[in-house]
Amino acid sequence: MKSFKMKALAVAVLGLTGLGMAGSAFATCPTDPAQSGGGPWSSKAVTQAVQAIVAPGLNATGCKLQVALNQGSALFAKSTVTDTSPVDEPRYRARFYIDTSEISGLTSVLRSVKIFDASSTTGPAGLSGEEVRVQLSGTTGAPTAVITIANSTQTSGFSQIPVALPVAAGVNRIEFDLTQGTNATFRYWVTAATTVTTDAAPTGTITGVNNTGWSGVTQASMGEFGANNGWRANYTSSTHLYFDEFDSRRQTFIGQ
Amino acid sequence: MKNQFIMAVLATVLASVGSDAFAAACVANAIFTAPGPAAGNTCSGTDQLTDVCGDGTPIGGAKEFIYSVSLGATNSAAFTVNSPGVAGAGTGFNPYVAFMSGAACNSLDTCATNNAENSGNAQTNVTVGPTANAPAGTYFLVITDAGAAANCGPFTVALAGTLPVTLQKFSVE
Repeated sequence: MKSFKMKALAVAVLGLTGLGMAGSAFATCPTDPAQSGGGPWSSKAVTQAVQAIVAPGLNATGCKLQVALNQGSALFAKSTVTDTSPVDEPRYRARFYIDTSEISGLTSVLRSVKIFDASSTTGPAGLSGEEVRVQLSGTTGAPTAVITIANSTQTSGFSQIPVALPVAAGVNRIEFDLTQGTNATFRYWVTAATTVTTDAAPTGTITGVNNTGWSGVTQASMGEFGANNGWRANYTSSTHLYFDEFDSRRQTFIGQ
Repeated sequence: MKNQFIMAVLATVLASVGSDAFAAACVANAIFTAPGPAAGNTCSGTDQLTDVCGDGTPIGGAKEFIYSVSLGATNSAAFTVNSPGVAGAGTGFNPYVAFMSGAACNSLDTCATNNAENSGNAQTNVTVGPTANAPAGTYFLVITDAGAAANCGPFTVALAGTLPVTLQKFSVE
């Protein structure tokens, strides 16, 4: 398993290649993603949910993270891994692979679950500390990544972009690049896992973002959490989402 | 005149810092002391947080009442919250309770202790813990309604188990 972290500001990479494991699809997977159990993540949370590391991975890797919430679970059900190595980052880039092939019936916004967030320590009164949030939802049966970013130029305090996943039942790659400031930029790439991407050609860009009220990304969580009633009622501990190859950096493009 | 202008600008800047830079952090409404019980009313609190437990649980827009709790090195504390009223504005609420760890009250505080989150209907007991010898330090007991933003009302908190002994009086003669 590759586990790589650097906190020195002089180094451009702040990487956490969470569950990447190059080599055989029959690799023996670790049992615990958290550092307390030998894994690369700062911590994990499993409440009324399941979490495992299973083979094969999603990017020619050996293993991937498997998560699901129990059917009928409470609003605080979660199955997540968390990285607390960022420190009020003025620029934060992250990328992960997600497999949604076991999730069908996404025909209502009332079925949604949070799959990723990047939070700051502080934020404006009455608003979430999340600077970037990615939820999985859908209205046509196909999954959509609903990306929400902190933006005080909006009355609501955030901007939201729904992006249909190019591979409706399979593996996609999500990457973003967030800067801090009164005229900050958020760029995102949402592609099939096999699609080659470049720094110069994001799927979309939001300019003129004001996120100075937030203190910069200081932790990131990935998995299933913050699910609404429809998700918790309809999906079971056997309808999993899979994640792999999380990486976060300060400057450089990540891509495949 | 020039100094007055500078002071006015400075006051504006400080006011801005005060409302923005530290606003996501929460402030405890009261200190919970053993042996309890305590009584409060979430209507007298404010909506300070939209997410808790490492931003892992969305709690919506209802008012929260937050206790600061100090745990000693040896602890086994369970907190049971009951809202005796009927859920509604000012009359009662469906309790969501979280026991968060962190030196400063914040939505990124973790809920890593045993059974640190729970929820239920009004007029039922909702318990978090027991803490089972969680690391000594400051914790925050968050009480709110994670459903309807308007819901708030009176509640009681009962403690089962042990917190550190509170020193009431000390003298040397």
